[in-house]
Amino acid sequence: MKLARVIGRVVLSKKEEALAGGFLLIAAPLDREQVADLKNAAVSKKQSNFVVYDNLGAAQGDIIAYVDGAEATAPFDRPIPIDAYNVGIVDRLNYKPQA
Amino acid sequence: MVSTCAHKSVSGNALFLCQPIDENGVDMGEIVIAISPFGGGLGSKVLISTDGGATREYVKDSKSPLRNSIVCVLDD
Repeated sequence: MKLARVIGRVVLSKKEEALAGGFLLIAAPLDREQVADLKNAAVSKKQSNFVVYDNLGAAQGDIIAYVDGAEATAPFDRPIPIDAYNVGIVDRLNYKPQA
Repeated sequence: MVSTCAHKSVSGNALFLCQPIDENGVDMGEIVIAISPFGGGLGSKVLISTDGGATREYVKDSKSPLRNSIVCVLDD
């Protein structure tokens, strides 16, 4: 899993039926410096944003832990065309990098 | 990492923020989150497996989206 911040939501009127039951969020990946300073971290210009499938109800600004690749589709018993899956909404991070 | 609203396979498992390091022990690449059967203290060096199948087996949920798990804690 990796960390990202929710920066938006995708709304679709017509979509693949397999996607029903969840939201699609736009997320910005968080690098080391951003995790160390979550409150002031701006959206990184170096890394591109991505769309993540969410059935937990993450809101704008939330930090989420997502998984991408094959494991993103593991929770489903149907084929689903997603790249990233929201595993958890982060309440607290205890991040103390060693000097 | 603390998360109350998460996939059901996460409950009961501690989640650890892990910083990959290079051969000299210098930070390298982005942070990954792994579950651990061993606990593992802050600052300890660990080996992470990215075998999703093994992790699903460990959490006893064939539909778990978890991938990374800590497979050993280094002595030194």
